[in-house]
Amino acid sequence: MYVYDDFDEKFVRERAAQFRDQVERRLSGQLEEAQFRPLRLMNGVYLQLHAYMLRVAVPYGTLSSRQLRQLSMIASKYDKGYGHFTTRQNIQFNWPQLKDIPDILDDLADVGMHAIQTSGNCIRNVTSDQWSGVAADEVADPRPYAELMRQWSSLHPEFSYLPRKFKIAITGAVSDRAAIAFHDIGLQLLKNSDGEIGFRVLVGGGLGRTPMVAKQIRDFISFDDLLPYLVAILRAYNIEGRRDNKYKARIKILVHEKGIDDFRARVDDIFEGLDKEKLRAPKGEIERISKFFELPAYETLEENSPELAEARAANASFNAFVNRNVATHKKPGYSIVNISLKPIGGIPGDATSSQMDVVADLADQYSFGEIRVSHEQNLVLAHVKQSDLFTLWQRLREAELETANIGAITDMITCPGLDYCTLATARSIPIAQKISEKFADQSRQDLIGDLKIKISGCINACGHHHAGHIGILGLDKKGEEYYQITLGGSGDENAAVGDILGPGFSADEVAGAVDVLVDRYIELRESKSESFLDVVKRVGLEPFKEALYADH
Amino acid sequence: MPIIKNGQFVEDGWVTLEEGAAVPVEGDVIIPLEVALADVTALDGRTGKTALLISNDVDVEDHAELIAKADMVVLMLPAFTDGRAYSQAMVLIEELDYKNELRIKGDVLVDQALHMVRCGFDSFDSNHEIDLEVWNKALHKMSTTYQRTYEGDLQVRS
Ligand code: SF4
Repeated sequence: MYVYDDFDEKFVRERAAQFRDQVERRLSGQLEEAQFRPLRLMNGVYLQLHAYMLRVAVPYGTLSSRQLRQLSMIASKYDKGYGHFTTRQNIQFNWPQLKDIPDILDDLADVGMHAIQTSGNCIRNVTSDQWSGVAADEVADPRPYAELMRQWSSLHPEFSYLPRKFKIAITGAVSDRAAIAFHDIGLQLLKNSDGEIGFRVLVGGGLGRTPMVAKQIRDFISFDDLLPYLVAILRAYNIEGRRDNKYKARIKILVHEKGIDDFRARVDDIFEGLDKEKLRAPKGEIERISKFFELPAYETLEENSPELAEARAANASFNAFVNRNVATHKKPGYSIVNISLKPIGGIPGDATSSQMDVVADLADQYSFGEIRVSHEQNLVLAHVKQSDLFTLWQRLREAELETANIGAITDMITCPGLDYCTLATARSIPIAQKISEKFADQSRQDLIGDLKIKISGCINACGHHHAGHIGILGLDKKGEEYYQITLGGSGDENAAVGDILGPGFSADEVAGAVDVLVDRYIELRESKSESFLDVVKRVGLEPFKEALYADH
Repeated sequence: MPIIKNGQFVEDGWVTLEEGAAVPVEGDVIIPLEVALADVTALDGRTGKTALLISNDVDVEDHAELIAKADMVVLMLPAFTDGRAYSQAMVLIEELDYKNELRIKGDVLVDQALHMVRCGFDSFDSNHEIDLEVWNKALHKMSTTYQRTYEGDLQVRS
């Protein structure tokens, strides 16, 4: 993975010192809150319901074991002993003191980390496929390009005060695990017929109160033109994006109002006028960065490990773990291990300091010291030998990290909701906990198969409910929390926004309603391989509505 | 407020044209773009210097000819969170090849000063009382940058 050189380190240290000075001026009263607010946001500091929150960038979701240990240290020294992994592959700490944040940033800088642009109306942390580099269906590793964009977008003088936040996601695989169609810009790595690397560019996707699937603005842009083209899109947006209404300020509204063809023409016009040579990545830079992402020194192994087969046959719990949490690696004899941060009844995405330490140790021992964070709020060890899986699983079990539910109904994305967030209209964590408990039974989960539930505590949709096969949105009606259910959303390469089923449910009813939907699905499916989403696509909402509302 | 230029307060001779007033022949005058557009010939007869005051919803490319004749362009920053002027500045410099003084006026604060300098602004007309020492320090908090186009005097990776 990418390692800072002296230049990167100097940059991050200067940025930390700059923010320290801003915090001091704020604490001494020289800087008013209104003037400080955008500055702290641009450095990941939010004011939540009860305290400040610090969101630390995990660029494209890649961490070294050393970095994870430092996050663990920060969680225990400045917070309550845990951290929360987010849908942007970042980690946030919910209880730091403002006065401590500059010290935390120094601690982060010690391990090549920062909180730059994890919030604010600027270009946010670039996200990517958590299986980058090892997925069997990958055209090319997106991480070098993500790192290039991280650098290019850091403290960008022209694009730090955009109409609204700006999120870029990139994938190098055919299956989209980075939800690129729900980003302001989505990039898909491609090779053209000459074998040249380039990108399909999508623009104007997003969730929030007006969910939209991104539209294609270019079918292929060469690597050389990537940064100039991004400048052209951002300049068009910075100049023309709406600033009169916060809820209409994302680029998706501009693209929607102008129409993709007009927007493309505008971007092309700007693009043509740019001094592209100056805006391109310097010669050799992508090669320099790519070196850091060369695959580790794998051993030559058999395709299928006999030890693994034996252990699976002997231990049903382990077998369930392998079935759900272990994915195919492109190298024979290796596998991708997904570690669920969704224990039954737990808080989705939370990890304690000691769990982080365990994962860091396991990464060192079994996975070349590298950890990934997924946008579904789980962790990944991307290079584990099949023959090590059983021992690894035992160690995970000791740390209560063995939950076998990746992609299953209890592997929910959940926003912080009313327990933390000032914008929330309802709680989301307790809803997730109730659903999780209802479906705790492993054999029932396995029977149900892949089903993504996503929960947001208000229409801002941080819990991606629009993209959930079952989406749950917490609202408020005269002081009572109630929950609207949508069906049929999807965040993958067939991105779709879910449709509302009907009247909402109270906090006590939601888990029961999900239960009814799931039972209906089991009745309707033609075979076990027909997933929940497939059935919804085939039969539509009606049968589900009937099941839910028949006796209401 | 005095103008900030090169890290110092300066008293310059520019006068902003009052609303409704006619464009005078003499003196260094800052003229709103709309006024200038309404009477382009009045500009040609001037003996003093002319600056254009351009609000942030204007597409500067539409006014290339006028801008080419201006001795100074003043872009507006009604709120420091509104970043349109940064892109206007880039279009002026990069696409219209504008080379004269570029000023920013309005909600100008120390914590955005470096971005402004990097986008090509060279004089600053702030609504606020600026502490010059803090201003100059803020300009030097970062000595490194990843963007080459806007580098100013910052260091890029070699
Ligand atoms: S969806 Fe709403 S409640 Fe949940 S984190 Fe976002 S803003 Fe807060």
